[in-house]
Amino acid sequence: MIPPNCVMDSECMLLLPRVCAVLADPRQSLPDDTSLEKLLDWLTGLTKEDHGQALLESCPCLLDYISTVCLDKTPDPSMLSFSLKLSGLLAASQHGFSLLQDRSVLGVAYDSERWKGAGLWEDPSVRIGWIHGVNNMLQHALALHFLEQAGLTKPILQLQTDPSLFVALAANHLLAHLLTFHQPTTASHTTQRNGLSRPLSEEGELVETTQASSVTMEILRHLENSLVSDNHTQVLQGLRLLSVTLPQAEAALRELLMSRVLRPLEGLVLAGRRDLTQPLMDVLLAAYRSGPCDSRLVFLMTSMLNSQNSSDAALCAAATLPLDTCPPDLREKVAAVLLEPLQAITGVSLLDRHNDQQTDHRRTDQQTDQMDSDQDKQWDGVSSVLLDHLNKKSSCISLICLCVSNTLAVVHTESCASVLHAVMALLNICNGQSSPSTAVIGYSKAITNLIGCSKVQRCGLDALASLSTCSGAVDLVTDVLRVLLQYLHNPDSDATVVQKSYQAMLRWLNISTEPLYLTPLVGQDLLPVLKKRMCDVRWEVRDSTVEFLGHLCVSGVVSSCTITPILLEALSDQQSYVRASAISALAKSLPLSGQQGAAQDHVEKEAVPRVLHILSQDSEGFARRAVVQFFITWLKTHPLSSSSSSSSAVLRSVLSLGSVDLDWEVKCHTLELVDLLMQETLPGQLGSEPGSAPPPYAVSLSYGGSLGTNNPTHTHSLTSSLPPPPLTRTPAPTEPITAPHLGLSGLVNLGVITALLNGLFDCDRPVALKACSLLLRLRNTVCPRPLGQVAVATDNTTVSEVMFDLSGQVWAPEVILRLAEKRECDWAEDGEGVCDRLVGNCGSSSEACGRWTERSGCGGGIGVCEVLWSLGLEERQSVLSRSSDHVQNSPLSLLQDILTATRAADIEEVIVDCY
Amino acid sequence: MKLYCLSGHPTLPCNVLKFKSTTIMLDCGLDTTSVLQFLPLPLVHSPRLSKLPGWVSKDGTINLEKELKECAGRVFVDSQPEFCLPERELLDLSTIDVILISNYHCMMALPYITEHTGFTGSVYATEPTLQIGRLLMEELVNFMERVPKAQSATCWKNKEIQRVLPGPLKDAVEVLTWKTCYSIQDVNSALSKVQLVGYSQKVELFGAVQVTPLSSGYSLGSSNWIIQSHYEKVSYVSGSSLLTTHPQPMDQSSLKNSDVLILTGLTQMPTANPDGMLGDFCSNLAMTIRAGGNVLVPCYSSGVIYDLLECLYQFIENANLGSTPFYFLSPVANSSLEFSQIFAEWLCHNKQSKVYLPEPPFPHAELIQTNKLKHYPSIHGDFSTDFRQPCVVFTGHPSLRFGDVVHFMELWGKSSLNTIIFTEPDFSYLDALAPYQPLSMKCVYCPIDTRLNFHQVSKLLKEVQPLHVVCPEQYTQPPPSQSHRSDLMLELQPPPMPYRRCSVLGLPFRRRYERIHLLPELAKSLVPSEIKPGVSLATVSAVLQSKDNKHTLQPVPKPLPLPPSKKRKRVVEEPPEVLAPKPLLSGSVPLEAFLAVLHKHGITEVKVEETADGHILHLQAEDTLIQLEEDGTHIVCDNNEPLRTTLRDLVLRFLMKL
Repeated sequence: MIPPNCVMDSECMLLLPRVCAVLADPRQSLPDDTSLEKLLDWLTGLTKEDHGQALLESCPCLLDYISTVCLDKTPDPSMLSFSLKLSGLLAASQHGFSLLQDRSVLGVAYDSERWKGAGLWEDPSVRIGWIHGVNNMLQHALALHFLEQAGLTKPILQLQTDPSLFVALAANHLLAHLLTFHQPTTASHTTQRNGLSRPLSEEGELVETTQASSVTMEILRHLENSLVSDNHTQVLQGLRLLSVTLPQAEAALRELLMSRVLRPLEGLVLAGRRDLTQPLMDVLLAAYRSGPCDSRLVFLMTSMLNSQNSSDAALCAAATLPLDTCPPDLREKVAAVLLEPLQAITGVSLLDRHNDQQTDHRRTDQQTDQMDSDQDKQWDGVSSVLLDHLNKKSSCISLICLCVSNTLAVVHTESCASVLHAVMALLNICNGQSSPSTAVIGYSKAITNLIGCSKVQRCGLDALASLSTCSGAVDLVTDVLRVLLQYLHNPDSDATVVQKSYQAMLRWLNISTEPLYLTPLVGQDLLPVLKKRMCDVRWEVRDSTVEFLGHLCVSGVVSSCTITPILLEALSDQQSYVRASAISALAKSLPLSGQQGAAQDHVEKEAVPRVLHILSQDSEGFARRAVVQFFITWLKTHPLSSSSSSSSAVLRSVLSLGSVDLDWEVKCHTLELVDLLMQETLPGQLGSEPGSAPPPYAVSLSYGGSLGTNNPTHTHSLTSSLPPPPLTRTPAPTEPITAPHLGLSGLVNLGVITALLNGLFDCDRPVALKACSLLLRLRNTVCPRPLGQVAVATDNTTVSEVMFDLSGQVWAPEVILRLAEKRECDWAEDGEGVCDRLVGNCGSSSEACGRWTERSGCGGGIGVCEVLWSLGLEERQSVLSRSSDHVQNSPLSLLQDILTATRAADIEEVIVDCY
Repeated sequence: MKLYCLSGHPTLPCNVLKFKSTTIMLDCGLDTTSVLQFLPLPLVHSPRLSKLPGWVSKDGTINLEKELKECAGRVFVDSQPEFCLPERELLDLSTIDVILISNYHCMMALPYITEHTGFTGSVYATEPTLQIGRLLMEELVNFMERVPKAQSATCWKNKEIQRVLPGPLKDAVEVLTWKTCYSIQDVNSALSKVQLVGYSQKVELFGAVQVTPLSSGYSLGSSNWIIQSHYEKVSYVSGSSLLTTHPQPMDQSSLKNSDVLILTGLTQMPTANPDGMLGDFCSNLAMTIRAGGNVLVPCYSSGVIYDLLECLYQFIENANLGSTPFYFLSPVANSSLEFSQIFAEWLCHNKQSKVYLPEPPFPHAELIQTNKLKHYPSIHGDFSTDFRQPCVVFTGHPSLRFGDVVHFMELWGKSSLNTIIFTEPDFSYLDALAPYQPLSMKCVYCPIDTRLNFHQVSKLLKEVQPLHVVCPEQYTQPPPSQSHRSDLMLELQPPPMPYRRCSVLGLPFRRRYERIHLLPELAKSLVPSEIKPGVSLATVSAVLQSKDNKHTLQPVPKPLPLPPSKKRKRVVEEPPEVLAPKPLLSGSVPLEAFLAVLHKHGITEVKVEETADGHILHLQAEDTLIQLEEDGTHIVCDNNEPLRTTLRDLVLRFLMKL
């Protein structure tokens, strides 16, 4: 997709006439049709602002091209299709339309008879191009008059039942566009958005004398005929047109439409055609939403709900549910349709039968005799139909799923408890646990269909989860948890069912006002089964168990010291997803461990070395990504300022490992960690990124020497391989850091600068881009402008003295080169003296290059700020922010491609001639 | 055709089919659940068991201190364990012609049937069934003979005494028929009568019926049997599985078009899906090992253990259990593990193809090679020196009454770190554990039964469409503990015929046809005449010879030429007078037409009476009755031969002659 660009550059402007000439030349072989699509996309973007007026003025070649193709008697079908679409696009402005009319192109181009005669109409691409063209053009009154005069309505109506589905769909949309583009209004002589002035009769009714309204009336007549047609496709298309048009129709048009179609719709509803249930319901709902409540409409919807087929009725009921304003009668019927199967299966009383019959009766009084018989269904009759339906496995499952998924939307707060009981009973049935007392006589076959059905189980568990918000749910927590525990215990539970059980359980555990009262249940029943599930053969189950444990930590139902050992065990799981989830779950337990002093130590001592090991050794990216996320959470809950020196050592390890990881997401996450560290180390000085909250951390930062002695040995060995922090000025451990230079040297010590530069020179564009923007922020905030320019920081001399060591880094030569170039440039500008002062004891730039690459360092290292200023970060950022295929995707490239393709074909032909 | 049901246990069947003059025993399963009433046989002296108090009735009138011991509120017989045998009074076992064995679990009562009963027939089984069955029998004998009991308890079996005993001993049935284990001589003698058969091999029995074993997919060499004559087919389905386990898949198509299908050996655990149980087994095992406990798996030495080991082979690496030792203890452990590898032709396709690589078909070979799985004949000897904890031990017997498992129960029962995982479905785990109570070790019940479940059976029956199904009565209603589960029973149309122990069922089809062979010379002499298009008939005069249940029509032997006589020479030269057979009549007499004909012949006063089989015409003037029936016409008239002849000829007009 070519990025929309409203202005054409000069190069394209030069190429376009040649391209048009090539395309219009019938002797040239065609470029592939995706090029035409791309070309059209680009041109569409160009015409967005002014309907192509400017485009036509600057590129008259387009007009020539269209007239050449359309006046040609036998153009290529795909080229014709393109030209039709383009001409519609250009005719969207009145100016463009007139220009095309002046050349009498439009009349020829949109004469469908002409294309039929040429045998081109059979090609669906021509038909669809024709429809798109008309649709594009139809933005102003002139176009409408043209349509009327040229008699285009008839072919459009024919195309509505075209054998090609795409063509038929497009035709339907065009018809809807026609109807809504030129809507009748109730006010007299209003000017519509299309600029047409419409005379109306005194009663405010539509006067059918204008040309425009004759189009509307023609479509309406056709629509009316379609709905009573014997042809299924025609009925279907009619219904589709209605459901597309109604939402956009204003009051007058809606009224007009309804007056014409309501009777045929009644016919269709009462005929009870199963194949039309869905489209009919779409129309009724669209009609209901688009205007005032109409009793006839409500009656039709109620009739749909009375369908003999329970599945259809339930589908209609589910579709009706989202209606905001629903008459109480209809709503009651919807509830009855959706709850009845559930009641039948579970035996839990959900419906007040007496009420239901009364309502039915009242309704029948209001309606005509013909409809009476349909309405007056006996309960037993409905039940036997329902029973037949439930006895078939597939229909039973789909019906029950539909009903259960929609239960929450239909229940009133007062009947919530009974629905909850029904859902629990259903879940027990599915698990093969229902006791004989609750099984309903006659439904044993239906119940057999449900036993062990994981689809229904999932729906039921979802419903159970959402029912936790019901009033009175608190009293049933224990019962619900028992049902859920059975699902967790059942070895046959599908992995997805186990996951849903966990989700539901979490919701129910959280609503309990007194978690203490659940403690025995959790300790004696839940924890053992969780431990067992942690050893499950299926990794999916282990994974969702670990996730659940993480959430359980947060909810506070179980103390984290019970859970952490299980999570630590999961860190050595074979499956990387499980390891990753275990790391995330441990991260969730971090805020809690902050509150529990001893537990925090536990996590630090046990978890940190192990996750660091995973970051350095794990072969799977998921786990390593989770580790970096873990440290992000860790840093958020345990600010550097308040933690021990070992924390800095740990973070240094994370940065050094994470910034050179093989996985680009790990690197991105590492940069997020860097961002956090920068915000914490330089509080209030860095402009935070848009949308991110200001850092809530303390101001002071303590620095340890090397690694903490508390850490287990393998972490030590891991991190001690890193270069020792080349500090020029080590602040005292307790010294609060406020000055930028101290903050900057703190970042250097943590390895932040190295990590950022690792990112900047990374081959993954998102990583480099993120690093670049972070470096820019750091530079602009902390570093003084190079000599001669206004310094940002107050004590620029001290900041510029902060050094870092780049020995052993792969990007060191590049940095040095950049630095050298920068110095040379500065020297040229400012004279040698200045250069000497900057370079200091490192000698001249060219020499320095050689020495730095050979030796490990240059005295005290390289100044951070100087490096940052030498890298040309702004330029890098603009390069990086362009997508890697921006050259190939440019309009220029497209035009060149078209030209080259045709030229290549030419060359080939010449070769053929030679032989 | 009759079916005699000698066992009430649906998965350990023993039925006798009398069919076409043969008497065929189908399986002879041994119901070992009776051993649960007995105290365990410890391998080393157990102070706990020896100190159990004896049982005395509450009023003190009955004292069985020596025979019955009390443990945790239950009473157990302190004696050599005994088994409940198939019924032996229902019919004379010496009349049995053949015994067909379907799998090695269903042959454990064989020595009781073939030895000391006068049995002289043969036994048919596949090779793996014989070999593994032998292993299981040897193991059983070994378990029993290793720990001999001096005394044998019999007093408690007295009906009057048993009545007052506490349950479940009080409710034990047929206790007087219970027998102690057979000897190794009996085993050898019984197995010497086995003739080996291969799948789809047809075996003729006395020329009357043909029996064929088909793969049943349940265990190595397990089979279903087809028993058929020319016009009848009986299928015997026992212990079959449609799951992908180690044996060859089940042959379903050959079961089609059976007149009767005898269905036994469905899963004993219809609610426990084997896959789920296997997963549960693995997770409980891993959980125990991680917590530092030991796992005890009481199991048979063949069968599910192969699948368990295969599943564990994949699981132990994933669950970081690589260093945990797995021990398999059984007197026949080595043979069982080795045998399984050599029965390649009886394995599923996947495993068969490994043999050609060549690779051992079962992965337990690799477990043994890498020392992860070690096997020993018993706890004595090398095992005690190699034994390392925590570990996993597979050993028998699953009833926990004898075998090495008794020792581990005594050793590990006191620690809650250890777990016992039951995988065999044959015994109630609560009953099995009863004499070890109070017990601290964790118990997990993961019964793995791969046999057909009700859902699979109904699909199978829908496909093979037998005319009648015979099955144990247990399959015709939901299990008593889950009476609402209508999915756990057989629902068929027509309903299946249920049987229980000691039932004798007359199977609902009669022999209607027999195949008879015509000798060529006789066939040549036939002169068929067409009675309607496509149907020709011929009369045959021949001699029927029946020998070995085969029937042959032979030409009538020519009468011996009379000795020449001078006096009657002329007569002799004339061909002997052969009585032409009377023509055969066919067709029916239409009433209206017949009345019209009678009228023509002046018989006008005819009273017609309708009967069940036809009509009776009363010729009132002539005082004569004509009975017109489907297959005969009688003319009753006294002393008026001309009238009778006239009437006869009138009737004959309407009939066709052959």
